[in-house]
Amino acid sequence: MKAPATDQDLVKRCMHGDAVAMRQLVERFQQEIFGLSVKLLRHRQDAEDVTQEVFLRAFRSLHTWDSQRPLRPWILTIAVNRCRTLIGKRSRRPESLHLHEEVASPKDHPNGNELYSEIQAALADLREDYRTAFILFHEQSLPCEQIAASMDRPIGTIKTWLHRARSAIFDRLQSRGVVDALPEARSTH
Amino acid sequence: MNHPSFEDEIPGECEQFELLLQQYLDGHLPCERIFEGHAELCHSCQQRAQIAYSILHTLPGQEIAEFPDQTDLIVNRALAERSRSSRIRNYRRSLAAVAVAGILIPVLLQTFRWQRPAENLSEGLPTQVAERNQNDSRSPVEENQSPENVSAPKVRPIVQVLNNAGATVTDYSRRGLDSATSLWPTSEKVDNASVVAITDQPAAVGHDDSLSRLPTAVQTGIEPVSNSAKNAWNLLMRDTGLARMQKPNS
Repeated sequence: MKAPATDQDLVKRCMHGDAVAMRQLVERFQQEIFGLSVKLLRHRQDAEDVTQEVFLRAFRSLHTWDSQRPLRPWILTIAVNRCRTLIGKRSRRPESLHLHEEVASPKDHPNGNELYSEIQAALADLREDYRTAFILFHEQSLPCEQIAASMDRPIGTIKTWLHRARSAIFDRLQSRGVVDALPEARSTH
Repeated sequence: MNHPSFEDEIPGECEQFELLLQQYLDGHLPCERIFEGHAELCHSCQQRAQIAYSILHTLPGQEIAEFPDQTDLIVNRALAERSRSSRIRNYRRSLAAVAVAGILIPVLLQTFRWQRPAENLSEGLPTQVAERNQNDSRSPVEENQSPENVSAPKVRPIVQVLNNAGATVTDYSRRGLDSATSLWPTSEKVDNASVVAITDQPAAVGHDDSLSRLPTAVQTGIEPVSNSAKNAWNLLMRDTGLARMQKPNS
């Protein structure tokens, strides 16, 4: 069985206009990009548009990517920036936008949808910066350094935002009594 | 009892536990550490530990259901954009080449054109050459058809061409300056002219061949000028002070 091409190989071939390599690159990252966009934007149509735009921008600027660094954070950074730009535009738009609260429904999970939905609802009430930092850290598993680079903020600021986002989510989940429905963690760990 | 929010004042042990919780969520502490010690005694902190644990085990790697596959769309758009940008790049390159050619060709033509006056001036002024050509019985067509002109043109190095061009310009300027200098009034002429122009015509003293009776052109060596031009000349002489120096009885 043929080993999957490395990011460096894919990028090199994409820069030469290899359609197969471009397909592979899109297939490798599009689900994650779309998921992140949906979580940040809470709007499927916007997320689809952003996903397309992210890849087009990525293909356009592949020559600026440092091949010594991993590709995934680089693409995620483009996605975060596009989402933040769109959120900024939305805030300046006079008409209200109906955001989906259930767009990020998870696939089957042992803890069920309830906790996830509660977390998403709590996230929706958070400030955009806090939400982005929280999602990038806890859902996309990006390190604080990478989040800081993506959001163009110092690491200390990102850690503060994360701390505040978590505290707000804890408070909300506690006040809504979600904790009582959770399975006993001590017995599972 | 609800745990006080992070912004509020937190009792000592709960505050310490909150820091532990953050460290756990940052991935710096094992799971066991948050469920022992203070969490076993404080119900609120135990709940928060439970939430933290759930967050860490629920959120990462969550995939979105009903994911739309946009691979074809994205790749087609990327390829179309790539070919379009390639076309634009080629168009810009061609435009730049045409612009460079548009600048270079006239410069080269000008450089080679300088070569002709050099050849002409070596045989005399352009007017003299023209006169000679008029007197020449042979027509230019015949000249061109003569066997000596049919030979292949010489290819000269660019340095030689530029040297010839420079020499031609220098020579032409010198000749032009010489001819202009010959027309320039000498001090003697200027003196005579100013005397004639500013002083009154002296009375005849009985000599018919008196200088004053001679035409102005003879006196000054300058072509006769009309009254208005003479007046202008007088004014010029007066303004420049040349007339005053020569003015009699001053």
